[in-house]
Amino acid sequence: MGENGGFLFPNDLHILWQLMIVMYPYVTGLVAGAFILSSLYHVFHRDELRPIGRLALVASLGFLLFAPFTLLLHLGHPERCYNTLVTPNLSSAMAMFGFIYAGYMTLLLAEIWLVHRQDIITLASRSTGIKRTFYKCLALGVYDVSPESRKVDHGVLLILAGIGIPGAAFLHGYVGFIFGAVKANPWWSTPLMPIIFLCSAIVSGIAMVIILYSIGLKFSNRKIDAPCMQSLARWLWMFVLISITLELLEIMTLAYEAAEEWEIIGPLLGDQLAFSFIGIQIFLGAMVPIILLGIVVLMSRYLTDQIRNTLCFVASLLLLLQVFAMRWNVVIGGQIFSKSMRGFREHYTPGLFDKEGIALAIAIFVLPLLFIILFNRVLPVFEQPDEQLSTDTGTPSE
Amino acid sequence: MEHAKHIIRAVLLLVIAATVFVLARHFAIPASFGEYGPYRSASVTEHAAREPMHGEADSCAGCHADEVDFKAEGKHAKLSCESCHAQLSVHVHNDQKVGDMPIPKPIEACGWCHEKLRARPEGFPQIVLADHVAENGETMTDSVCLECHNAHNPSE
Amino acid sequence: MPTIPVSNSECGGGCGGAPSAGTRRDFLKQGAKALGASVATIILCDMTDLTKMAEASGATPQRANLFADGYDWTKHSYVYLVDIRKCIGCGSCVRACSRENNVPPAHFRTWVERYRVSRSGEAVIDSTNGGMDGFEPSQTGLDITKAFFFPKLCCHCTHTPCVQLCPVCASYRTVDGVVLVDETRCIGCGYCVQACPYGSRFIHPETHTASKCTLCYHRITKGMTTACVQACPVEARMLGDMKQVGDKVAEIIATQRVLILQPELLTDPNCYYLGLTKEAR
Repeated sequence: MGENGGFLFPNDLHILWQLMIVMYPYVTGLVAGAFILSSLYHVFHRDELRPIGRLALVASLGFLLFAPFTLLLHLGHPERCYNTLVTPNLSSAMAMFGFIYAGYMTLLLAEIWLVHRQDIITLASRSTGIKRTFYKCLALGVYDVSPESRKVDHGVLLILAGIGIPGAAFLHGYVGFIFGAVKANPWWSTPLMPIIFLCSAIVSGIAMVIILYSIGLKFSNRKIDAPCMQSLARWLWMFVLISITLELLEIMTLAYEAAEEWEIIGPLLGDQLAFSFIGIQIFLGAMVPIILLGIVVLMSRYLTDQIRNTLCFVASLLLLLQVFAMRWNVVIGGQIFSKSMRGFREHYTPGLFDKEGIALAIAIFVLPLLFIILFNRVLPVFEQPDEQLSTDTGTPSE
Repeated sequence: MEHAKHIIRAVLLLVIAATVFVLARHFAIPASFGEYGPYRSASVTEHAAREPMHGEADSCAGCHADEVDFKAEGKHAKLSCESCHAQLSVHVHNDQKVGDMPIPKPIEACGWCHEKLRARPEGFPQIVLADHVAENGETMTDSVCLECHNAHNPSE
Repeated sequence: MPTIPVSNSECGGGCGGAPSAGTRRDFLKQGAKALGASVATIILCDMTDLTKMAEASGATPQRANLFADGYDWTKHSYVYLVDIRKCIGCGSCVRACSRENNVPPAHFRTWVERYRVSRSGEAVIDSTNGGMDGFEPSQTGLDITKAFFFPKLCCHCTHTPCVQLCPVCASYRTVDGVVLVDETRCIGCGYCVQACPYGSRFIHPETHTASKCTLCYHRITKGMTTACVQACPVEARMLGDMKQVGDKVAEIIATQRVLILQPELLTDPNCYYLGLTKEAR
């Protein structure tokens, strides 16, 4: 028997895909979003975004490194995960994960390597001992910093970033497809799913970079670059608007068509998911940031840097929450109702120290941040004013 | 190309990694994979090789011919012995008796089929157990059904 | 940068004597070529294998017979028929299935639902413990005008989403039409459980792999019938074989008004129902 006396299929008692499967699209979304943001600088030459060009790439790498742990923690047999690479089912979206992941990892590493190559060589020449060996290995034993080599780097970088944009879109679009392709589940099964996932991924990526950038500069006692923040706010605003429009359009269509599935999705959204959907995903997570960012974008000239930064920071935090709520509502929401379409399962609250519990979810979210800090100790994440490259713009020195 | 040496080295690394992967993958594919389709066909025979737990329709007649014949004459002819008792495997293994066949509580086992339910097809013999027992002047016990009916041939 | 010097030891035993720089380079070139060619061949073979497999899906068996005991799976195509009008809701099938297949408690490879529908079309549906303990008479508070039992099991769909979605090819459909799980390769992701529109799959709480009705594959390949069919006292469940001439079930499917569950999903189920009504889903 379901919560409200409805009928559940006997095998449908529990929520099968739990917190880790909520984390999975969330984390890969951050990866894709941050990467697409970095491409705005590296490919589309939005030069005002230069200060976060590297940060976005490194953040993307950090989250990409830890993304598989969400899946591994979820699997019943994580030790067999290599099966997805050995005998991938060509008709399964999920089987492509290993390949898309590996490809994307390669691309991202290559791009970060090229972006940092000059620094690597400088550091190799400056340091001694093991450190020197380490940087020499990173440089692959080539210490060519001639303008010609830089030109080559730049060309390759452009190509990589160019491949990277569809790559990022694919990485995350495919996550949406995993859900969108389940025809048994009317709350998932929509061709809009990949696009919705992609747009909210970009939102979360930009929001995450804004937060990292704000905090990172705060700790290194440097000033946030106003044009950069303004530009970030503009991009973020645009993608929130697109994202929330798509999310609402999907539901409006479902509600208006009022086909069979609405009989279960209506009560799902209005009742079961009232807090996380209406409260967080729509109101607090989307409407409030849209207003905050709207102020930043439309009333830019009346704002002091302080206010702009604060508004952007708060909006970004809320948007990170919104995207998480959106993932939650899709993944958990899609399983609250039984496939009988006639009843709801028991409520799901993740345990604290479960395999798919809150503690590990937080760890997966925090570890990439630690990775960024660690990375920053090896190679600079923020552009240095005294760098050979940053002669034109970049963050002003203290 | 002179200034692209580092790129060439990086690409070389990539090629080596890809080669290692392809080779490793090739040797990791399970033996019978792909013989009949994208699956390990040994899995099919593994499934097929499992021991059946329930016997066949005539498994019981080997030892209990009388009981089986008696049942076949009555209304429970189509009812499998194992439905009320248990799977053959708890009783016989390799033609050796390995345990007693459980005998269910009649009031429960009879009720599975004959307790009156709105959803049962009309015409199927069903009773409100309590009423039926009372009507016939019996008191409700676990084996009250057997006072009047033989479970193997209930009309007797 | 200087090029990496190639040590003589890398040359291996095949070089012999003191090779000149030219022959050594030739040798390395040859070696690289050979290695490249073999890797390329492996890639090509693997790729064509994969694509071929995706297309064939068992239609062209490469081995004469998979089974050692003489069973020929190309000569069978199993179908299942449930006559809802006959089912008495005794739960014998559920109990038999559970015992035959050691199904974990609170999980079901087959189950029975009870539908009670009022004149106004309200349906009260229950399936306490999958019907394993039979059904209790209970009050619905409605004017029930139509009531029936509705046995369910895996539909062994021809175009089944569970096999389509399995990332590691651990779910597959056999040549004789049974959808099975390779428990030794299943990674327990649960995607197939999500994909099944009928709720007939579950993750086994002990093995942590997907589990489902096997149509008693260990019985039907030995010429026996499934545990549930054998247990049914009223012949509401029947196992058929579309490739057997004069098969009773095949005849019913061919001549009577049989329905399938959720036909709009085009999964092409091989489990047919007689006496299905609009409320039943």
